[in-house]
Amino acid sequence: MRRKSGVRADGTPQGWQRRALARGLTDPAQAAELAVESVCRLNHLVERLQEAADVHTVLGSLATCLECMPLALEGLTAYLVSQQAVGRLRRGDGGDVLERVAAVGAATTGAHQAVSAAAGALRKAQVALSDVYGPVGEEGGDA
Amino acid sequence: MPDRETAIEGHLVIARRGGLMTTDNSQEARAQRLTTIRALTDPLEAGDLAGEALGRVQRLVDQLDNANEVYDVLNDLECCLRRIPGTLIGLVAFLKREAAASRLFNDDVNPSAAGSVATAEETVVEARTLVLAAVEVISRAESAVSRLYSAPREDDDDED
Repeated sequence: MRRKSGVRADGTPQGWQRRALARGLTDPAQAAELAVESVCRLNHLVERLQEAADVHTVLGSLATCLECMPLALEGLTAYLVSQQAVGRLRRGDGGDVLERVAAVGAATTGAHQAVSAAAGALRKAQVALSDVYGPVGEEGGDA
Repeated sequence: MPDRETAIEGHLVIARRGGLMTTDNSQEARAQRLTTIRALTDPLEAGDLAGEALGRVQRLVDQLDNANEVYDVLNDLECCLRRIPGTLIGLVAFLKREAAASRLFNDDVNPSAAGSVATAEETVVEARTLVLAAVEVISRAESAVSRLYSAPREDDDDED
């Protein structure tokens, strides 16, 4: 039987425990670190894909990752702008703080566009694969 | 008791963040998180957790405390992006291998999945290129932030 796309362990205690791991975090740096570790683990485990539906699901997860980044980048820039506005930012080399903040803003805007477009491309790939199933073995059942 | 690798990574994080994560609780919690992630054996679960974690970053980003944290988060976002192309290559390799072996099928009238796989590959390659471009741009943002730091607040002085 063809497996529908979706994370298998979603409703299991392990699935809830896994999600609680992220949702329990209150520090953005810790959440970002968790994201890095998870993406590294995914990279390591990609050899264990079993079905076309797995590819569809992982593409969706990666698209979700990318879709979260623009707002995160906006938040980072907004924080720097607010800190600069209240005079709390300093520059280690003694230069113009505003120039550095503007450079960060320009770079994050570029990244924003690239990751948004990348997320869109991954969603398109998901659509292309939405009717694909298998691998199907020689016996006619799923491998 | 964390293993040697976890302990080393913990020290690296402490060094990177200027001693901000030196409390036992945060160290233990971090070790627990690493243990949980390393116990994952299903790529779907790892992908799901990555999405959850980045969703959490998005929600928590208004709780930043200083410019160093901006650098840390930017650095972690860049690390995430750097890993994604490798994963995408793995996904495409799986599809191409199975399609070449004629083991993938469509629900459509045309039973062959070759066209769908080719379309998916094309868009995944496009995504990969865009992700690599984003890595370069975020690196520039990191470079710009690296020269910035937050002046201590007055109440920080009181705590000292």
